[in-house]
Amino acid sequence: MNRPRLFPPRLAPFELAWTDAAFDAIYPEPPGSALPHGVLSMHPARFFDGVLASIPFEQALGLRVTLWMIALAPLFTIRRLGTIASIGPDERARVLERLLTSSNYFVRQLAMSFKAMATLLYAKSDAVRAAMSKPLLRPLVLVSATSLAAGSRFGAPAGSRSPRSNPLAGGAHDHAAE
Amino acid sequence: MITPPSEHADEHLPEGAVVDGELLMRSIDDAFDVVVIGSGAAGATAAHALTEAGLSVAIVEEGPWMKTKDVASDVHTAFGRIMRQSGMQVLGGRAYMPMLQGRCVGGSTLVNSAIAWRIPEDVVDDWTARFGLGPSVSMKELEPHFDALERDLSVREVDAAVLGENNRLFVEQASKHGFEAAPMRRYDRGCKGSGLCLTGCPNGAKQGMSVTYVPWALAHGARIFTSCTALHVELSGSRAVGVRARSASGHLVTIHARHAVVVAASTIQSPNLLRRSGVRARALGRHFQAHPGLAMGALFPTTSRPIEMAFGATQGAESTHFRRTERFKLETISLPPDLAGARIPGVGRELSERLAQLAHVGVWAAQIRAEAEGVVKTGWGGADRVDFTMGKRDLEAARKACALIGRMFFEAGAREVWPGIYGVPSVLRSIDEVRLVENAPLEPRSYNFIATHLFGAARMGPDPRSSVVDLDFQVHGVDGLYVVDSSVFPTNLGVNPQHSIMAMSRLAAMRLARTCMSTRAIRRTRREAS
Ligand SMILES: Cc1cc2nc3c(=O)[nH]c(=O)nc-3n(C[C@H](O)[C@H](O)[C@H](O)COP(=O)(O)OP(=O)(O)OC[C@H]3O[C@@H](n4cnc5c(N)ncnc54)[C@H](O)[C@@H]3O)c2cc1C
Ligand code: SF4
Repeated sequence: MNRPRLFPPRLAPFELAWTDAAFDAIYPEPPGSALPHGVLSMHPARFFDGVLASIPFEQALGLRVTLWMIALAPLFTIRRLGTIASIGPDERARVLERLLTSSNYFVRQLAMSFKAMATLLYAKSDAVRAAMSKPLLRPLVLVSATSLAAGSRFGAPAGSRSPRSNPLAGGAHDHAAE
Repeated sequence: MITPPSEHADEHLPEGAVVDGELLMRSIDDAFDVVVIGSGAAGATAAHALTEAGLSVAIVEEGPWMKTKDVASDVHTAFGRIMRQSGMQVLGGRAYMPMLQGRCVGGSTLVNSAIAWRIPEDVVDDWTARFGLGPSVSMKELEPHFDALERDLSVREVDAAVLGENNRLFVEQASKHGFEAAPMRRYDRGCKGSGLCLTGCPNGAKQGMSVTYVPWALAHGARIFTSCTALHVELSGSRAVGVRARSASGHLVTIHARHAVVVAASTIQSPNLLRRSGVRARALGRHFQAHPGLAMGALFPTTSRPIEMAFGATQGAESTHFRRTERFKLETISLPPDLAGARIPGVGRELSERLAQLAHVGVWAAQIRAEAEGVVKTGWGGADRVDFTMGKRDLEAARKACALIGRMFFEAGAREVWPGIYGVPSVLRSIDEVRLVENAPLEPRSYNFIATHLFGAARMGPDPRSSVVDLDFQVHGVDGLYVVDSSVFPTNLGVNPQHSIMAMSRLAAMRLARTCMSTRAIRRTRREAS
């Protein structure tokens, strides 16, 4: 059995708040989601804290560093003073997108591992699984198809520095980190 | 179609045959003819062959026994219990590559897709020509073992009734493209197409080691010590005499071996176990190889026939058409939502919209027969470490495979293809955009490989200066110490390895059994004479 470890210590309250915010950015509540519910109702902070306590030290450290990176990323990605928990849902999603498509390999790998964690929890929901496995009978227009055509949603604001010049700031679909 | 067994073989085991290291309350000191370390493809096969030959066998297995009735289908719960490092293990090097290994009774066969491939003849020829393995390891030697394994483990082509659309579409598309593809041959006794192979078969249909050779060996009198980690092999002079292990509950387990110790802890763990036991061969840990795999997803119109990856054999169709010319093999794979979600582009609303259409998503993959060689080491705190970086030709093969898959997806009607390559848009919307994949960077960090097929690091060969085990699988210079897993393979194969691992292990075990029996007979004659 992979037994619980004692070090590093459990997440502090502010880290728990960051975790909730970061998971919520990936799987938000409706109407920000096409699925029955968001991940917040599944207590992501508690889940993430439990995972960190049960996996080997090195991996736990890596995930914790990832949490800090995501928490402080608003400053580097969208030039907002604040943490992931103190910005709005749209901005959170933008921050996560930028990290996942960052030109820095380590940044995008860490962000990807965080997305994988969020997915592991989210897919535990029966309602979500049922919604995912049901074939759709009508076409669903993808946000990405419409908004990206307009070139607005996740791209850098007009007149800002190229996202590529900052390793933490990738353009939404310039590169695939996923 | 056959129905799976109504009673699972892992349910009614002989009294006292399983010693559970999670519950063990005291130290153990015991003796057997042969001690086998590891209960995966290699270990279970060897243990079964040795018990059938009449030897007393102990199996030492680091992980727990996940019984069929307890199999969990959510990836987080399952991986936490049965995967090494909860599935978070990586190969190091220029890029990190996740590496999956089962850590449970049955080893990786509990979580694998049960695809059975005999070793290709050209690989055996190469082993003879370049590494001097023939005639000890030849097709003629291996064939009877393949035959026996196929009988025992019910190797059959995926039944059309459980093929599923992801697999069917792949075969159809390949034939339109003008190359051969077919349903896979698998260890299958009544697959229901639940697409859950990665977390363990809830139906007992997949013929992994925990429902076949392990319980069958126990029925022949073997004993298994589960949740007990072999710390090292005990050597007396230049002879292996036993195994020292520690149970998950913290107690020492000492098992004396009257004849031999068989190491089958897999390509990464076996070399490090040998190192911990004092084996100092120059080739130990070197020449590690893999088949790095990558998967690509595609979204099909909701107006067309749904793909529904949740139904069908997890991996049901394949093509080896490009194995020799381009060094890749194409396969289908059904990813459960738990894993698919992380690979689908976007976050927030965009991601949720794609996931809401998961029933219209297909995933096809490529396994690269990489030329690159890595090194298996012991890292900080005794942890297993592997350095492995793919070379330019390997990446060219990967890029070619991805471009081919991308084109096949669009030709099959996909409206989006997700290449998962950094430097290429994460969403392609037309077949013309596949040329971006053809020009993708040849940089390991651009790709999301995953390693599940592992080879080398305790290579076989006649010369102790360039190999670790001799042509009878015995470690050079150490009597009674054998290695029977794919760490002895001089190269990778280009096809899925389990079948070849088992055939090699069975060959090794039968030879060892003959040696043990004749030693036993000699000892008996001597005793009687004195
Ligand atoms: C997800 C996945 C899918 C795959 N799909 C296929 C497929 O469809 N077809 C195919 O041919 N191959 C497949 N493979 C590969 C195949 O499963 C492996 O190559 C094969 O199982 C390796 O056999 P093994 O006995 O060397 O190692 P394993 O099967 O991994 O078994 C090794 C065992 O040794 C134990 N062990 C390790 N160290 C110690 C120790 N110190 N003490 C005690 N016990 C120890 C481990 O816990 C483990 O149970 C897949 C692998 C994975 C991970
Ligand atoms: S697809 Fe389902 S039923 Fe078939 S072998 Fe895999 S887990 Fe078992």
